[in-house]
Amino acid sequence: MSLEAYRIFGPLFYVELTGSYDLKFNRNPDKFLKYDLVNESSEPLPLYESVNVPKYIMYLTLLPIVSRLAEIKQLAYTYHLIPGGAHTRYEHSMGVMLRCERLLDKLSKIVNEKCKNSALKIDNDEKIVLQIAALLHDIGHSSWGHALDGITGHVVDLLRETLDNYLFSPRKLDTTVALYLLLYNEQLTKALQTCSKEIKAEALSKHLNKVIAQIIMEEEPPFFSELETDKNLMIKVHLLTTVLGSYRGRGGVNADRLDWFIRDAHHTNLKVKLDPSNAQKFEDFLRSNIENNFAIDIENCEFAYISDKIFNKLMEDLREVVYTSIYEGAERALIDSWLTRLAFTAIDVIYKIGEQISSPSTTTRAIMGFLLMSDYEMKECTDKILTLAKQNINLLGAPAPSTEFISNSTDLLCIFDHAKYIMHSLTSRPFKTKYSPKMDLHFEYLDFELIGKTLITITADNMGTLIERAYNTCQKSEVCKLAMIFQNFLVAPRLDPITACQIPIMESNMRSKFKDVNIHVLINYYLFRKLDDYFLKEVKDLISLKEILTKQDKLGKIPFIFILADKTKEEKVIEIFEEACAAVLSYFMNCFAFYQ
Amino acid sequence: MWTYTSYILSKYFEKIAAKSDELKFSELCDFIFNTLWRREGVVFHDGVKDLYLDLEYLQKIGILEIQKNENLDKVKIKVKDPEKLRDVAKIVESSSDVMKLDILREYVARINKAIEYVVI
Repeated sequence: MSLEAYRIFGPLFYVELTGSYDLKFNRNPDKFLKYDLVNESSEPLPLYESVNVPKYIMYLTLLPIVSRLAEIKQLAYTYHLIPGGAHTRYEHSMGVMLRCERLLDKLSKIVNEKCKNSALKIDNDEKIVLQIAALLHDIGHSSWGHALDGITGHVVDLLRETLDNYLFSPRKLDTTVALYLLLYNEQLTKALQTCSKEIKAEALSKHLNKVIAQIIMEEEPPFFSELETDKNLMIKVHLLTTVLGSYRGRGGVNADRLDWFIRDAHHTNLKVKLDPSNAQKFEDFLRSNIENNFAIDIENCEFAYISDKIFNKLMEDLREVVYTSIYEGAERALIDSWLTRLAFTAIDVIYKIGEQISSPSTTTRAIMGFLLMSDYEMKECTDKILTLAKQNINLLGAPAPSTEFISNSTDLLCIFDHAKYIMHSLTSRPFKTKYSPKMDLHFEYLDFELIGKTLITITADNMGTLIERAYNTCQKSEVCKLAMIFQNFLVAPRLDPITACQIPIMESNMRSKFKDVNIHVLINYYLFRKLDDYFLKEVKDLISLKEILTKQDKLGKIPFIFILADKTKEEKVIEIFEEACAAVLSYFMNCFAFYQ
Repeated sequence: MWTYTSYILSKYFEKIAAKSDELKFSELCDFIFNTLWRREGVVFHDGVKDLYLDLEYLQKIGILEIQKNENLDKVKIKVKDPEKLRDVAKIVESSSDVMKLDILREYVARINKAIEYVVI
């Protein structure tokens, strides 16, 4: 252990990160809360008149590990553009809970009518379990919206030594964290033990934390040996899961999605952005949907689903509108890519500090302390971590370009204070289009005069062309090349886009080349997620892949890489774009060459 | 993750069902959801239907042939192009070196461990 590293990083690591986790979020609830002193209540909730809060739910909401959801904005920094979009994950969780409760009433009648096995009947016990699962379904969600999804693989990889086997499922960071909390967090596990006394059926109450985890994970096979032996229990778990969420390939009612879909649209006043026919459809959808005014059914007494085809089609259409109007767009992609990088770097530093001065299990708690912070705290803490790391970079024991990437990220945090100006510039001013004869590509850029920066984008369209060029240099079979693209340009970046696409190396090389221009390279995680949505359905060869990447109504305009550079003359902007494209092309070609 | 499904199938045929080019879907499910999932904690598929989507894709690109049946338990998978399957498996195997991502190496190691467990 380095004593100097301990002196410099110790207070941050042990007090602000591990200390915050242990004292605030991991503290035994029996020491500060008495279940018997908590009463049921009612809370007004936007979209609904009010939500009844039973005693066990009220008790859970009084825990810091749960109440933190009230300090996390559902839509991250969207409020910079749409002031109403500042609602929280807590509001959403309560909405999901109420919706689930009403859906279960509906479902219990169907189950009682259709299912002969009396062990499958739904009563108050199932209602309690579903309410708790609904309240806790976002318990592992970190701040900054979905920006941290892009570091899931990185975090799981760093924590591999201390995380149990069950957690080796890096699809979404929030489910990994939720599972960790439901299994190992003392505050939550003890509180669930207390709540389980309200449940009569032993099968549900005995391992309540694992039942809740199984529901939240939305994976069909039983994760825990305690659940696998009871077939009826798993059937019920499947039923409750498909009310709250869905299984991929099978579907579900998905009360979670219904609530965020409507709630986000409500708070962002989406209807003003819609054409009149869609606006009316949306209003009708919103009103009827609050009452769950659509038909649901069950399959094999085990899986719930929406059986109303017209409703499903309408929902699909409107969801598309919600996505394009609220969640997507260059401004969201840029801010999220920015946050992804800041979180990636901050966690990397925490891990490196842990390697120097602590043990793997304490490092895990320090990283959890960071991930559970509120929006504001996470920004403040990232600032502290990166500033301290930059000042003492030699103590981190990391090689360049990793250390350089960490130092560069500190500047990025300073510019982030202008997020509102940047987002508004992106939505209110058109990008300038340029042509690079050297790369034979068109590209777009935008100047941010106020902060003296220029944003250059390499889009999915550009990416498609560059992949095609690299593809044509490889002699392998079509299937091989397709597998190579899927594995290396989709699976790997979905897990850890910054490492997989070698962003630190790219940035370092570009900084060496353009010494007089400060350059930051950001990667857009959502592009890979969107490409994944299309792949199985539509890609079978290079032509179909290129069509998806280049067509404007598919992924064409979505940014792949952002380059944020000091404002410079136009010729240099073109040179920077060309250098970045050359780096991307060389990266693609090297990947293909590996298999020759 | 159809590339991992290919890797699993390739290893399964190499080590467990070596004398055959055919496999029952239920046997594959058992390996993926009971052995790989439960013993090694690796999750590539949300459930049976999600796995089936991967198989349909492998059929579309000419690696497999699915002998369909309304009852999923009776569905059979036949390898149509073993060479292609092996090639995809090699790509998966070397991906961690290409991408410099340890987590990809861990996936492969855990699949191999699960296969060895069944062999023993």
